[in-house]
Amino acid sequence: MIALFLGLALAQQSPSEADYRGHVDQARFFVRKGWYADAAAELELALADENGRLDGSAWYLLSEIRYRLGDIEGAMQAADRAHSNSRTDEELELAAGFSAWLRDQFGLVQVRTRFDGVQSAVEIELQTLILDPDLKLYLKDLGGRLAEPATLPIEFGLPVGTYRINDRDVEVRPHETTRARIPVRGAAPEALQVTELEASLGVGLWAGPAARGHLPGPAGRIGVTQPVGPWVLGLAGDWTTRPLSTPDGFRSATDLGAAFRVGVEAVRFRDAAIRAALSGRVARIAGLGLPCTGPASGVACAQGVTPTVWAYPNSLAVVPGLELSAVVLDRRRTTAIGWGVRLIGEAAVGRRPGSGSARMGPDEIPFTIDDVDQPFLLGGLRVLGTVVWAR
Amino acid sequence: MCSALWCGPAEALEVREIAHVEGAHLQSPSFSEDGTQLAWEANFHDRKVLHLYVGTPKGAGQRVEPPVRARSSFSKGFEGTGHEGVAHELAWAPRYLNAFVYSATNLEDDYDLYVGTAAIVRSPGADGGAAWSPDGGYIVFASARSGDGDLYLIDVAKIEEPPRQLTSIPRASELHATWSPDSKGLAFVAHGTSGDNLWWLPTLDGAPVQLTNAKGSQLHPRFSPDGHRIAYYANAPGSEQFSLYVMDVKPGSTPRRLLDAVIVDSHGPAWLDEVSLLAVADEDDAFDPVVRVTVAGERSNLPLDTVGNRDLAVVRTETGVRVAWCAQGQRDGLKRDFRRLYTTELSLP
Repeated sequence: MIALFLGLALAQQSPSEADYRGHVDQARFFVRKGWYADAAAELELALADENGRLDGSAWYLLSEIRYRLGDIEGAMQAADRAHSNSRTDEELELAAGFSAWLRDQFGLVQVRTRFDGVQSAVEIELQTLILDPDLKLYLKDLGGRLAEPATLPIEFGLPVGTYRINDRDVEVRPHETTRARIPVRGAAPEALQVTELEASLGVGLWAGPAARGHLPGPAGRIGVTQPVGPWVLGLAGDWTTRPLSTPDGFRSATDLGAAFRVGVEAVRFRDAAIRAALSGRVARIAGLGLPCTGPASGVACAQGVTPTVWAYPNSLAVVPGLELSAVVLDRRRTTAIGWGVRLIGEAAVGRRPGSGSARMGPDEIPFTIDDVDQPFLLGGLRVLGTVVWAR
Repeated sequence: MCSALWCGPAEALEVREIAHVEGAHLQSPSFSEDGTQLAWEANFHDRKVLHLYVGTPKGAGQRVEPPVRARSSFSKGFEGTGHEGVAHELAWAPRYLNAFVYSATNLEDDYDLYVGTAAIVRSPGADGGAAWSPDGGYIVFASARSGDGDLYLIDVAKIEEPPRQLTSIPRASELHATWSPDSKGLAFVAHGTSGDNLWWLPTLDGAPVQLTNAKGSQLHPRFSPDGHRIAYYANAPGSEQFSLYVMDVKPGSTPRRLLDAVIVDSHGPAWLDEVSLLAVADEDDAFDPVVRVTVAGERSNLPLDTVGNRDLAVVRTETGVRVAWCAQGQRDGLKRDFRRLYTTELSLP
């Protein structure tokens, strides 16, 4: 029987009215559970409806929910709409009362730091006595939310009174917006989970029997680093050009490579972080010389032969390494330029090509290499200065 | 001219009527700590309604009501707010706080405590009889939330936290709490089947100590300004006539009766200084005079021309003592329908 009456009652409502009331009922359910954000979302759906828009009680409920969520300005606006859509004197009194209470008891505070986009915790210390438990609980909730670093500037409502916000005195007056520049607090490197683009330039060196005659030369790298929680992942492309001493004089050899790395931030102090990473690189290493002998139509190369000619083939190598870096970056900003130093120790394990052709003057001379001389192992070191752009 | 007990004209003190409300008896005047503000209640007996007013000693009172918001129901949205109930039992905070606490009915006709626009205690069960400690740090109040009447304590600095239960005397309801001047302890009445007796809580974390053990009612204790004595009203079992007593604040102290037949004041006896009090003598032939009595037992009537006096409030000012009280009217006045509010100034010798 109850179901029958309920069905009749629903049938008497227009579909739109039934829909918006459903959202309001759902919002009330969420309020009872304390899920205010969900309740606000339901009410906004209800108030998007043409009938819901005229429902003062829905606006009033939204105003109280926005208050619970710390959105004082939104609560005032909703209370004003509740006032405009009140149907009885009692509704009018209630909406006007809440609106006036919000205006009398709260002011808005906008906090910023020297640069926009900085992340910071906002610590609010009440300096005056507040004799309203609701306002104290509001402050407690707000303090909890602002303890987590947020991107500044932000605006929030505070009960009228005096405060210290991140050690700056702030006086909040009713229905006024107070602007305060505050120092950054609660620097948390993990808070800056943003991509870092980096360009590095420095010196690189290979050492080992296969790299005889190689001298230190300029090295560069372009990379991207992505912090993921405590991990630091990176991809890079690198280049090194080294002077090479040959029987014919100095020449240059240019290496190219592509690398990935996985690391952690080992030490953090303020804006500085020391990162340790394991890296893997695939590189083309140039200029590893071998003595060769034979006619101009084709030479054979092997260690220990009396050379009539030297061949310097390009070789592919896998280069595992250990990378230490020190990076200084304003880690409370979502956009920042920093700098750092990288020290990369690595070992190249590679194999020369079994045959190929070498350029000698205008001619190409084919060569072959004895099997036993194809593998090689090199130790390497690179020291790079880095510019980091985080965004 | 000064008598042994006050300075002023011998004939009559200058009396000023500062408030009256048509249809209501005014009652329970109460001065703020510095005497610049005065609260009183208007009792509409026929409607069972009490209104609370706050003004100055010169009048101009404004009605104090619980805020509309406090009468709303958050999860229900708009529901009935047109509700006239009771607002009463105002207690002042010390001057630096510029506040007061009072009790008022909510939509369910239950009593909650309010400070300004805020409900500071919202709980099923009547809450009332609040007293603000002289140092401003605490509010004590009586509550029926546990089923018995017990005293609870609010730490003003942590006003958002639930109040702490202070007393739970078996088979008794605790009420009429009053602070010692140093704010360290308080006195109260335990209302039991064998009588209403005074208890003393020397410290807020200590155990209460029984001060009186009589079969009648011992009511409305109030500390002397130096905190050494307590004045209160008491009667014999079955008697409707109360007398004014004083006793030292220590267990086993013997109470001394200062005045027979007094009219009970809900705020308790009004101390003028460490050794004297004002009270209203229950003497119809003398129109219920306001009298000053000393702890040594001396008595003299204040030369006031009001009749049917009740409910005294006293505050010391830079120039002397300011007194407020309610009375049916003045002797040569024509209007004696409802009790009005009067004030005068005294100079003590």
